[in-house]
Amino acid sequence: MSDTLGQVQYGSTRNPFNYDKFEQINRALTTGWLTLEEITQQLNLFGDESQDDYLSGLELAVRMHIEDYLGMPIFPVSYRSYYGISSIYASPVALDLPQVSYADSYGSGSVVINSVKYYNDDDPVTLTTLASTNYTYDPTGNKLILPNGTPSDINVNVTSPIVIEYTVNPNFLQAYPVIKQAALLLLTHLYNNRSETTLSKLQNIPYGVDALLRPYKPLVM
Amino acid sequence: MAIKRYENVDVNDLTFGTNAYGEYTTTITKKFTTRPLVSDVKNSLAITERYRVYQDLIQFTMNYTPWIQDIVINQNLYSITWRAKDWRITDIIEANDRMSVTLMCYRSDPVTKV
Repeated sequence: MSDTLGQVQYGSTRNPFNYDKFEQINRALTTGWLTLEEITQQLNLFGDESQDDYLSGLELAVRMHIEDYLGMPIFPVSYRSYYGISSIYASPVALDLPQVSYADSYGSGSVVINSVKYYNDDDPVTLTTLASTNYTYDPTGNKLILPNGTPSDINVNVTSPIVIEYTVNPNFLQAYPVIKQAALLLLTHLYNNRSETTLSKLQNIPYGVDALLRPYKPLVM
Repeated sequence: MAIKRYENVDVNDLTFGTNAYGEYTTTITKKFTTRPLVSDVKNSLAITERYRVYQDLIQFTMNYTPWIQDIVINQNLYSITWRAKDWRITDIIEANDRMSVTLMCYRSDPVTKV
């Protein structure tokens, strides 16, 4: 491993972002973020409640897009990340979490490690849970540290023998009016344009969704 | 330049009946408040031999929702309250893309003598 950017001191084998792959394993798919009151005000529907179900569905899509755009959970999102054999020969072992949000002074946006498991060298292999005393989360580096290294019976034949499941809590930014306004703009666009195609070219307004959200989009390196 | 504005209006249900004297009655019950684009307000006056007849026309453009669709289907069963006056629907134009509905409404002031 020649790339030593971001490595732990004396841990020469750690690459930055040393996960093999990651996947979302849980996400709020029904909880509303923008209220129907906010939505119907925006769309000038006011007391017309006959489309509330449709609007709620649209709101979920908008909320998920904002979450994905900013990489910032508005409701808790859980991930599972996998670590390959190249990540685990270091002392201490440091495992990067691919998707995190920053924790603020209000305690939101924090990361909760739900489980750390590894495939042992039994035959057949068994996914074994690591006791929480064997690891610690480093919020400054968004990584999980195994101070004592990996278990001695870890399976070296499995592609990704270490599996971490964690939850990222909602970020405080989700309450910012500017973020909600961007969501309302996007919702209005989706409400008014229900087709993939149009006969004429649509134009973005100045200071639209991208402009409102850009200051809050973290720099990804 | 004409300025179209969004203004709050009430959409009312109309119920027709007959009272104890055999007179026809119309009961107006508010169904919901909405916020259409109000445009093309026209007030007109026709002077007949003995009376002045005021008739006002207006257009409300609303988002196409299930309740608005019901107005299209049952035009006679609805009225609109705008600026505290009761407006009845004369013409309805439903946009071809089913995204908006334009209601043309009229209101008659009481006739006054010339």
